[in-house]
Amino acid sequence: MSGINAIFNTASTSIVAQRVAMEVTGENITNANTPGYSRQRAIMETAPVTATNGFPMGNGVLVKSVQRYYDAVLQKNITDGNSLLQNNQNRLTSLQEIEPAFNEMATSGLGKSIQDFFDSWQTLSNNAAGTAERQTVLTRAQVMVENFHQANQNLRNVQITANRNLEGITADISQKAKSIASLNAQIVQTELGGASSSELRDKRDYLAQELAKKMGATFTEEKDGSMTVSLPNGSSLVERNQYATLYTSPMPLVPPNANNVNPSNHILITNVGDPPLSAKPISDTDITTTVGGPNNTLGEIGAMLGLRDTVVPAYLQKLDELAYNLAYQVNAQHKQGWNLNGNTNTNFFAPATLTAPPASAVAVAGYSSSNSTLGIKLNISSTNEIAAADVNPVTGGVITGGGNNTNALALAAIKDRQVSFATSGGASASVISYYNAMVSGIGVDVQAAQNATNQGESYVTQLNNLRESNSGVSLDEEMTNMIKYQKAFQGAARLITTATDMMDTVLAMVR
Amino acid sequence: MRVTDKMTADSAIYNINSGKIKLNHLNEQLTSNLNINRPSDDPISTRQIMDMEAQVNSNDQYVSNIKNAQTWVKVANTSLQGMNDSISQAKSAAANIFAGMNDSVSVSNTLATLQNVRQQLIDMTNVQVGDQYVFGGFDASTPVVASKTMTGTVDPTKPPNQISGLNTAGPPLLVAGMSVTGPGIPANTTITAVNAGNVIISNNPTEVVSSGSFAFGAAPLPARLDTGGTLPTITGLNTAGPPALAVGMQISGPGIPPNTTITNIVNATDINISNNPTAPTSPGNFTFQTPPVLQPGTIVGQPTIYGLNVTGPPALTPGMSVTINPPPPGTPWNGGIPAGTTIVSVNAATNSVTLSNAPWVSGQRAFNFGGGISIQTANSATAAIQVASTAGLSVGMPVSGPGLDPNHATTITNIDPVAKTVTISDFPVIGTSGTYTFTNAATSQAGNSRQSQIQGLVGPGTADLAVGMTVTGAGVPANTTITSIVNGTDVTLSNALTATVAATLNFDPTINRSGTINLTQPNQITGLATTVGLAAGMSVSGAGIPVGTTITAVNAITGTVTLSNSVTQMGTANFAFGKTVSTQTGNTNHPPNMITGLPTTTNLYVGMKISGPGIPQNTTITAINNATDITISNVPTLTGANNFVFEGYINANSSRNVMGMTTSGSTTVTLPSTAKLAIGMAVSGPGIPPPPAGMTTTIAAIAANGTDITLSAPATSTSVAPGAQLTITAGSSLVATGNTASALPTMTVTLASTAGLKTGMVVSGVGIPAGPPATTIASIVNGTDITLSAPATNAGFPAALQLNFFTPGAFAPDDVNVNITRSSQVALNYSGAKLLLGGAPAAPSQASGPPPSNLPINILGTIGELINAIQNKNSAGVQAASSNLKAAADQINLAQSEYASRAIRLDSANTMLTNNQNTMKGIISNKQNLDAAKAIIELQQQTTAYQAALQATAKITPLSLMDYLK
Repeated sequence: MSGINAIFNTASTSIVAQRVAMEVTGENITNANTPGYSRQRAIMETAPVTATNGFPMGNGVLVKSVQRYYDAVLQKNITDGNSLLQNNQNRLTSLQEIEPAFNEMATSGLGKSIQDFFDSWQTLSNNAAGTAERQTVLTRAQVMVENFHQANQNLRNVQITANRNLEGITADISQKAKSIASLNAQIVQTELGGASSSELRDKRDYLAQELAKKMGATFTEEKDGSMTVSLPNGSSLVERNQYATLYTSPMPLVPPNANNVNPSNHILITNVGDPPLSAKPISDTDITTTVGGPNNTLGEIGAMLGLRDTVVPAYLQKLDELAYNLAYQVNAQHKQGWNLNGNTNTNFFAPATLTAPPASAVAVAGYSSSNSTLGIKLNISSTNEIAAADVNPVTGGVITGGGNNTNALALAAIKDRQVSFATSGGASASVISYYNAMVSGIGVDVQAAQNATNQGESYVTQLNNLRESNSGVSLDEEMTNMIKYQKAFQGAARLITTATDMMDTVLAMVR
Repeated sequence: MRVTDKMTADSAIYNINSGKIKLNHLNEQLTSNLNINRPSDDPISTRQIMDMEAQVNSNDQYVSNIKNAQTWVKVANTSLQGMNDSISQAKSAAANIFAGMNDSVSVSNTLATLQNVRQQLIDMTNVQVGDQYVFGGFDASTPVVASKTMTGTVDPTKPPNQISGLNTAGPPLLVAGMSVTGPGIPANTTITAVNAGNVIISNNPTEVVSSGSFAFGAAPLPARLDTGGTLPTITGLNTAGPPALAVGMQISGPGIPPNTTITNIVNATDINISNNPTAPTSPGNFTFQTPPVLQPGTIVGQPTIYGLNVTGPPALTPGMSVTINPPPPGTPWNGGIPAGTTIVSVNAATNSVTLSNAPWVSGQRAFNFGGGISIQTANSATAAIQVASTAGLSVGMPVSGPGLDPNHATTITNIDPVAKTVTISDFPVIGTSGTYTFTNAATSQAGNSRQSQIQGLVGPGTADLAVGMTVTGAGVPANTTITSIVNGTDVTLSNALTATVAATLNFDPTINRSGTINLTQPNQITGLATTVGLAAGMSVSGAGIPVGTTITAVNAITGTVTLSNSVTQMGTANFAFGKTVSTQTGNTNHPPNMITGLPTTTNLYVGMKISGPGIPQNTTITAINNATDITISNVPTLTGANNFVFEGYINANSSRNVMGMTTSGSTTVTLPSTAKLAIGMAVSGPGIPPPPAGMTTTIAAIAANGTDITLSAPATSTSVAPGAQLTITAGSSLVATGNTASALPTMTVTLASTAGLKTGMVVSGVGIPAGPPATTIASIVNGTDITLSAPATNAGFPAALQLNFFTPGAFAPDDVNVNITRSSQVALNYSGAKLLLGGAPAAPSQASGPPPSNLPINILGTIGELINAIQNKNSAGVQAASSNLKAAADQINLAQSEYASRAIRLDSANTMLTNNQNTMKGIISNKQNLDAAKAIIELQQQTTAYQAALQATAKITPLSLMDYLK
């Protein structure tokens, strides 16, 4: 077809195309700050050519599609990077909660109280019969015991918080899995109809990224456009429009902290398609050990599990062993002495320290806690029960009295005595030195988490910049496009006006 | 690269945030002034800082320890200096008392001084720092020296060495040391302690006696050998003269009996004399004189007056009366010339006259001639004594004898050894003859007389002797008593020894001593030369002393004893002081040398050997007490039920052949000896009845005469001398279970409570040996019982026992050590045991420091001994205590030097620690304290950077194309 009408047709395609492009620009501008949004563009092409007047002539412009700027590899990197970053951030936060309890730089904590305890024995040696000096020993010991309890409680609080967080995290994961499954259904449906589902995909990508922050997961796009989400152990979380539910179930605590009386949450997953919670949980899988990825390095859930099951228990074991080894040495020496009541072979600390260092994790478990049966406490309550003498002051073999300070000196000397620590691989250290090393170790852990977080942040920032560079909306660009499409629209309109004039001219000729 | 608005915004936010973090960190550092605020800021430095702070912390404690120790050492040193001064005071008091031991004022002053010194020493030993006793060792909470009296009983309640049921209150009193005799009481047993109603004796009785009669007497002092003695002596003379002293010279002087002569010139200064001086020793001037020469003689010669003017006028003519002007009235001389004396002849040539009578005067006199016709002063002529020999005579010797004027000293004026005439200064009655005494000249010298001495007593020496005791033995005259104790081996005697050779001497414990009873104190004897050896409870006898009188109190200072009765007669007399002698009825308990609870004693015989646990070797049965108990010859060493093996003297299953005289129908057999035979041994032989089946004839009894035994059946024939050969067979050895009670020393004391007692405390009191060494608590058995380091000398009597605990507690050998640096300690104190009691030195408690030394002087004890010695006027004791005081001063000096070395160690440790602290704090500060200048510069840089970031963001963010669109 040719003729003036063809001009009208051609111009009208441009009017439509420019309008669509303007709409896309509008969409871009309005979503400039929408997280996960990828800028779109209208792809135009010339309309099919017809041979008129003996030569092929175009029929205007067509909007072939509206595409989004999207880099799948970058998106995957961002997702993975966020998973790691979130893990490190959570770990750092929790470690920073622990650190103040062991911060000997700014405050006087457990370390100072241990030193004070041993110094009080020296003071006692200056006046072994003195009630005030004996009371000082008891007081210092009590303060030290309370500091042990406090440090233990601080660690346990971190552990409990991590355990509780798991409940929220699993619920969040399940919610996100459900959303992804739902988006899968919409996308498949939309795209079956040939329509674009860019916004839906953007939304799903964003959800996937958020999900990756919570846990380590693999995201695979199927042929039909749906996204399959797999857990690190390979089991599926989302398949097409179906999803599995993650939930927590209180179970006996994970070893080695077996003596912890608080329940510990296990992570269970239902079969795909079984949501909500399976009616037959026996078929559900316990994924506690795998959901956090290798060494619990992935996602928030990995951070929480790692803290709860690895990091804090390790600190607790060290603290327990420190308390145990200290009590063991003090008890052993104290038992050799005689108190003012003429008794010997009495422990200074309870519970009795039966295993010689290095003691196993089970032997020392809970020794630093305030647990009434397991935790360290004073075995004696009166000043007369302190065994400062090395012979019986009442009926001793040699002339002696309450002023015998030999055992007090021996007890004071424990401060510098080397003792084998299982948590140091059997290496020997004095209790003070061990504690200093432990504090230093916490500092190293915090510093490492800090560094990992900083690196992760800049990595993710960099990735985001790249993504932004590719998919982000530049308002200036959109403004330019807007002008561009406006001008093209105006041109098309002018063409129609011109064609109308031509038509009028032609029609005038008819008159 | 395409840059979007979000990128710009993100980047701005990121950078602003980073800047803020840096600023915040700097802000934290600046406000806290610390480089490191938490371990994660710098884990390595944190570790270093913490380790160093731990060291600083330790050093602070050490410095505090040192300050504490320095106070102790300072206080101890001051106290030691005080002790040193006190001991010096005691030393000078002891030195001064030597001169004035008999001066009661100076004695009492010295005693007061010494008691004061002792209290000072105790006070200084109890010096405290705070509430801690510096010299207390490990027992710093109780006084180092204090005394405490507790009541206790020595177990067991029934000791074997006790006689009970006695009247110990007297009179007469029973006192320790009395000899005891009676049933079952071994020889030489004495009382060791007296309690209410019972006494403890030195040996265990050999049998149980109910209501036996026991005699308690003065314990004889053990005989002892002397190595010789000395005769009465005067020392300190110059025997060479002139004039030389010679044997035979007569001596007079203070305390020298009449007719005492020199018997021996011992050496240049000493002589022996023939009589014992009356005082043990006495200084004085002694006069020595050779005995007079006695010669028969006749006074010869013409009474002559010469040196006259015979021619006158008036001339003297024969027949004129001659008189001498009388001496002044009241003069015993009755004239000088016998009445009626006339001139016989006148010799003008010599201007002399001869008289009809010899005048009783020689020398120049005024003579009246012829009734006062002529009064001339002239010499009457001398007469001579015709003697048998002039040997031993010399001019000037006084002469006395018949015809010589007894009222006028007559001396020899000339000696004619040829004519054997001695011209004398007097004008005796011519013709008188008789024995004439020519007296030698006397010489006088200062010296010290000393009574005869016994010297070199061995064994107990003079320890148990007292002045007034009677001595018997070879060379000792009867009724000789001790007049003084010279030293530990010598005594002076009331009589001179007749021989000065070594001899065994016996001493009667009865003390004879002179004293005075006066009206004002009828129950006292005063004026005793010494009260040494006298004690309350001793019997007293003498003029006016009622029978049964005893001493109730002794005052050593005034030499007075108080008596239990008032005397009936006043005056000075000799009194005999002795131990009470008493015979009483009492009970003894079974001795420990028994085995009780045997199943039977049927086959046991006296003389059988016993062996078994706790039975000493060669123990035999000495008596079969009853069906279950036997007495054995030794005291077992163990208590308990055990198996014992009993054997006959003849080995089991062996036999012995003896010749025995049997008498038909008699059970008595006479053997050469019954030695080693035991009751129950089988006897067989001629005349011994053949045993009924299953039985043997045995020895039924062994007579005391050592030869006779009694058979269990009468002999059937009489043997002839030398008797029939009998075979005596011992039974097999027996094994039986019985109980023994060992006689281990009684050492357990039961008290109301042992609270506050410590082992090592000194125990004193009734029945507790005083030592040395002092009796101490060996161990504390339980809440009520203690054991002693030495056996108690009495035990378990019903009356309560007073135990005096002197110096309890802190005489610990232990030193309180405190740390002054890592692994270096210093001893805080110097224990009281080492310091004052001279106890065992402390084991070395530290690597360095002075070596432990053995310090043997009991300072408090020495002061006590000194006080006692002065009270008893025991100069030897004062001397010994004085020399101990010198050692005591050394002891304190040594302690002071050890304290000085401790002070030096403390000072050097303190200096070292202070240096360390400074260095360490510097290092910590280097790491931990903020370099403010650097931080502020950084802050400024960061502030600038932050401001730049803010400005850049503010500039870039608003830029938008929209602003240019119309």
